[in-house]
Amino acid sequence: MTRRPHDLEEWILRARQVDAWPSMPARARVWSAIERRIAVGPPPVSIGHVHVGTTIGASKLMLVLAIVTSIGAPLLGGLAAVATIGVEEEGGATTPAAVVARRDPPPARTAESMIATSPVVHDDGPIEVFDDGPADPEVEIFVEPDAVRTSRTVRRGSGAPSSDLAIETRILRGARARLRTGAVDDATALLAEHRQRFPRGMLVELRAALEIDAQCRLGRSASARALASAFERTYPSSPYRVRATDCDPDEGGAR
Amino acid sequence: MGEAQAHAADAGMIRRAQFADIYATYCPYVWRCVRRMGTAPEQVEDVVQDVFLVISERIHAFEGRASLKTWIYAITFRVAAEHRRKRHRNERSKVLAWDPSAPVSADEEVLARQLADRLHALLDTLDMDQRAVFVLAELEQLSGPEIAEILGIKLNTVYSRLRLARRRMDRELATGGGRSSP
Repeated sequence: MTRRPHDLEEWILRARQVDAWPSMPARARVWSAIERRIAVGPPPVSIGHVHVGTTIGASKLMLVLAIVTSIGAPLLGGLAAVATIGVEEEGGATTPAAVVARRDPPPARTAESMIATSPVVHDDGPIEVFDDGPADPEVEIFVEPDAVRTSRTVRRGSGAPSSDLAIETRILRGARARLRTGAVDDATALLAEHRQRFPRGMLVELRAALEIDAQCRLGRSASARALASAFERTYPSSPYRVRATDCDPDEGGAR
Repeated sequence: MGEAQAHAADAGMIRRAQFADIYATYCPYVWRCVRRMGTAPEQVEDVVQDVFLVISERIHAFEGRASLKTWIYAITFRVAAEHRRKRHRNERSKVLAWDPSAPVSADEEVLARQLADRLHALLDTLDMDQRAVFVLAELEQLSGPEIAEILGIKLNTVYSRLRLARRRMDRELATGGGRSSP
């Protein structure tokens, strides 16, 4: 006969045993949503001479591969299979990622409209694009099965990029892509919008790194160096390798 | 396919496998921590998604100075705490209401669920700082130094918060508190 625990120690012991773990369907559902929301494992961002992000050293890669090996291929295969559930191919055709057409032109150059309507070629992971209109239950996003981008239609659901983090990610990816293609003014506008909307966001460190590069590409070497100096003070152990000591806009930004 | 493209495709596959495996390995822990940090059951999936979004964004920054598990816990707690701060002022889940006078079923499964609900109601009596330390120390059974690293606080602060949390929980148990307002 089970009885109710009485003291804290007993509560703790019981809690360790009874607290819920996610069911397999729930795990698969979340994985599927994550797959739709993000580019899996975007590479370190290299913008000209700026290296934003860190590379994985050989030892760390081995660590990760060891983890992969320990779990086994069947599980990965199952996850990959599950990840495709609920994605409808539009006409069965694959098309290169380019532009998502909106029914109505956006009224202002907000971060989301800039990201959604500009035909920027970016190779560091797809940017999810969605229509904010409440009456449209279907949205266009880009998914990247391997090396080929495919335009597909998925239904808006719990996996829709509705969270602040998803918006932050989208804005900063847009800024990064524009820096890479030389659209520095657009990138700066996106960074400013991120600063305004998410002054204490989860990705402020990345924003700060991108701002340094933007300043450098605008030819504002002194400003870039000052920002870089502040960055190093604020984020002494930052993984983003940002230095503006060799800031040369003609060479593609800060080094 | 050119050699460069082939290498890029290989790198993409490695990254995909790496992230998929991290998810497969750590999803249960992340899920449980998110729940124990006070996320309502119906919101857990969204918060877990957010946690893995951050992991995906930052995995390249993982330098191995801490264990991968510690690193993931740190992200989990930041995301869960942020989520809870935003939601907590608006609503508290009635599911978590703990009524100490409620009958306890002899059915093991039902009892387990009741105990889990009551555990979360008890945890709700703690503030976020104490709750984080309590969950990591008592439920996840991590060491003090690990907790200090995850939460970015001093070791003494870990022990201080744990002592206060335990005292508070003891008091709640003694007085039959921990009841969420309906």
